[in-house]
Amino acid sequence: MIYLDNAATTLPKSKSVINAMSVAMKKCGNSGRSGHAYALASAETVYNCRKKLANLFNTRPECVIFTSSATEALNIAIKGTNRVGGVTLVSSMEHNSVMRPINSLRRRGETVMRQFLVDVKNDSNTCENFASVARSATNIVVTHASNVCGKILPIECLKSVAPDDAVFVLDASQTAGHIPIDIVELGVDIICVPAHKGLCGPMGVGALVVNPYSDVVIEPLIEGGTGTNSKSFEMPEEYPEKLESGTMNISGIAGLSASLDEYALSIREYELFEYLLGALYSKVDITLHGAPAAKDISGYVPVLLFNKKGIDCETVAALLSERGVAVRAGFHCAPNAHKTLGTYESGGVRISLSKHNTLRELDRFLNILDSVK
Amino acid sequence: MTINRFFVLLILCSRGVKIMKKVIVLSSITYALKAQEILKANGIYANITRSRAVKSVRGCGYGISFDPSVAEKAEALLVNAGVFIVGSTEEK
Repeated sequence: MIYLDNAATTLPKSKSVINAMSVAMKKCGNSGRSGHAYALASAETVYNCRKKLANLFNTRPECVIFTSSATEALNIAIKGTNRVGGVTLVSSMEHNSVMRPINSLRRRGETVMRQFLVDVKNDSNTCENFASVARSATNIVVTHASNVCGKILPIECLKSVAPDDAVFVLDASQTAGHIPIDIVELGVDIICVPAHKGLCGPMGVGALVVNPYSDVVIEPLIEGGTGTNSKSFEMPEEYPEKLESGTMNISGIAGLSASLDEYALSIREYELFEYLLGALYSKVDITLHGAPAAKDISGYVPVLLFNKKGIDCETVAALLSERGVAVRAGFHCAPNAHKTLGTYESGGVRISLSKHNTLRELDRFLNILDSVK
Repeated sequence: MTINRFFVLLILCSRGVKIMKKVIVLSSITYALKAQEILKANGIYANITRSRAVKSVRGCGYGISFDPSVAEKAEALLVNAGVFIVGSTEEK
């Protein structure tokens, strides 16, 4: 199988990730609950992974909160910082992991949702559109890069015109592992990431990363045991335990920790991206949506959306699957992104690369794509 | 710890005498591990503990135990690193 669905989850997972998860299942007790060797081994596994993520995003280990997914991290960030009566500003490219929790707050009368239009061809226009509605925003939630077309949003520009007291949450689901992210340099309050996409870790783990210089207060969505201060019915005030009640996914965290040991930004995936882009532009029956110019992939992560003339996107994906190519078709849980790109009625076929893909695979895919009729 | 003090402690331990240890109680296992790491980087070796001494301060929780002769230095290092100290006590 030629796997081109890495924006959903990267495959294959490395042997060291699988091995680390297996070892954790055998040797790790419940982190933060006891003082015996198994519990301490578990706690050290978790802490080591916190340190690696903290180094990656330029924060402190205690500012890394583990969750079950980026979606859970986003829910905590959105609902845990919401100011009742405030205004939440989102981009026109957001995933439902952002739109649904905000819509839920809106439905309950706890926020007003506003949206700014992303111009995938012009970052200045995007920034102007943002500035025109940002003044009243109390909370800003923006994707770092679109999961539909790979466009990276101009976060530094948006941050520079955002109100100083607005909480700024960045959904880095499609950028973590693909581009460098420095939370202090970006100046955002919170970054939400999954383990299993660009970071090449296992599914079932995510993280909410807090800027060490931010004074943002995040209230927990889930309350319960933390293994500390047990006589109190109040949640602890300190991160990460304030937001981490309940038993953690230790084997998943061990797997992520192993994947972070192997982590390195991949130039190859961008070389392949440029090659694929040029090849698809040369095909008369392929229409790319929101894609970069043929020889300028800056401002994008390696994700492409296309349609093949005269064939429904789901049919294309099904035929590719029958011929050994894994892609994702449809609306990618981001209806407003499809509205922005003009594909709200048709949907599209998404190709997403990782460091594991090869030139040979792409040539084979391009041949197979020609045979899809 | 000086070499002389080390040998005195070794002799006392070998005779079954229990040595007092300084225990600093931290807010969580995360901060206990962070504190242990900071002290180790400065030549102070501490163990993670969930002993009675911690329980007396925090209910359930974690602390670090180490040689009391370096307590002042250790506390200063942790405070400077932004580690919130819940309390401190001693145990045998």
